[in-house]
Amino acid sequence: MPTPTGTPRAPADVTTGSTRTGLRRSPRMQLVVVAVAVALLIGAALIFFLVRSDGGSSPSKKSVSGEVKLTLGGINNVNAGTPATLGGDAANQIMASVGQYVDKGLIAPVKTGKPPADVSDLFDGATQAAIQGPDKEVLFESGAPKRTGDFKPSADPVIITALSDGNGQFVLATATFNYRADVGVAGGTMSTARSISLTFAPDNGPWKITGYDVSVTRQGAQVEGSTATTTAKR
Amino acid sequence: MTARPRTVLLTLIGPPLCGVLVACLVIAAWVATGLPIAKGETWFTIQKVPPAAGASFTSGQPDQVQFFLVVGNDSRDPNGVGLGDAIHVIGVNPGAKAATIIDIPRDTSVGGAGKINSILANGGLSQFTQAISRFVGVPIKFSMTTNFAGFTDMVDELGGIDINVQEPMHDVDSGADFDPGPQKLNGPGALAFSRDRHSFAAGDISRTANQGYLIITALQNFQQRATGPAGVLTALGNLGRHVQMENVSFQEMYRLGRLVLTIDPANIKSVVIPTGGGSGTNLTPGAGIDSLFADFRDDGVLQSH
Repeated sequence: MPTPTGTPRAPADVTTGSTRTGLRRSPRMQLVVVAVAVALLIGAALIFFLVRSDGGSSPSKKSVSGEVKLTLGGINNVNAGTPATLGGDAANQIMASVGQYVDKGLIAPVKTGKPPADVSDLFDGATQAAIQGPDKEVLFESGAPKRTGDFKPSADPVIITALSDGNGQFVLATATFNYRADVGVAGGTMSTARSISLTFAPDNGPWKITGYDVSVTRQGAQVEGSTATTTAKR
Repeated sequence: MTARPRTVLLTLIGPPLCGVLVACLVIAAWVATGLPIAKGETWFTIQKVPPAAGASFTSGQPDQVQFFLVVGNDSRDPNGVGLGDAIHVIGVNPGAKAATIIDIPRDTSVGGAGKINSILANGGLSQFTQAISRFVGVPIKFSMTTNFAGFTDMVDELGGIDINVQEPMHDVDSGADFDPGPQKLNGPGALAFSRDRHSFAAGDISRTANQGYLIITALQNFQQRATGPAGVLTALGNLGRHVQMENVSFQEMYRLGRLVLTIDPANIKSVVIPTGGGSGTNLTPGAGIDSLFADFRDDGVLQSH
């Protein structure tokens, strides 16, 4: 009967009945295990990074305004069912609308002293009456009082919160940001601060503004009572 | 054979590593491709109601007066619909930023057809909504119903309801055990609060009034927690996993959420309809009910009641 040499054999595993000897594999087998593991890792990474983006291009981090630095700060995806991520195309389109709203609705009137250009195409049908009526003064600058000095607009990064339905289709998104502007007017500087939340929904294809929550606070020269805040919600 | 350290290491970590990577692969595929996830239990059903014949209802515009029906049913089956035991018609006037809740005791007898609450169990939400719409005389646009399990799960998931209990409530049947004062109700607590009728001399009438009070308080809580449009979207994402939407879109749910957020709870009245009898079964509509409904019908809020 041969005498055992080398490393003592471990006792059999009472649970499985296997022994450590059973775990020993040839070097070729070990290489196969490692190769399979690496292949799986690569596969997982490919699936995650390639399939996950459902809108083609990544959302742009460039400013969407020609007048002020207005960038995407982040996207919060809220899923009512199947996990989904707002596609880059949708995010870019929403950001482009935000940029047009800021440029045409807030900045151009101050620079030109004229009422804002027509931006009604950014809004859906349900909001048309309100943006031309009671909410107009809060949503847009009017061009008054007349600018006599410097104009310094600034904006925080835009945070998008997007909601997908049970099938993973995005049905609503809000773009939230703060916008400020100091403008020289007769008697000094008027400061305007807007807290802006624009809610978008697909409107037969393109995303349009279907609701908003905007408050504007003005203070300084030309402001009655030194501070005035008004809000428009829809 | 003597195993070298590298070989031993590979032998030991190889299989588990493979397992972890397979799990990663599955999870990545799940997240990336959006494989269906289990939709949570249904908390409530919401239904958009087509206008009844003859109604002047053309709503759809958020500025217009809107009427809703909220019904708690007594089904213990998480997927069931039972008797309509908590019946509330809510009128919202966006222009006035005000609302009124008309609370209808479950034992109310309508049109000689017995208790009104049985219509929900027998005819479903649509038929029940039509019956309530005819009874009150208002065009109800949305109706929603929840059962015991749905209600308790919903309240728990939304973080409970902070409420000021008005009277002592100690009732074994409902499970209510509250002293007056501020309380934070979890799901079962809110259900017990809504169901307790034995703690009050007026029985079901007081219970019905408490349900209206709970709705207003829940609205206050919601307003404090869901700030702004992004907050509403986040709440919708949570609710959306647990709501059965019948002919209702997320856009409409969003508008509904935004609408209720514009209402100051201080501008909400909750009124139990007058009934002919006391606490008990088959309550007949009481004197003055026509006047009450007419006051409610014209603009969604009560002025003279």
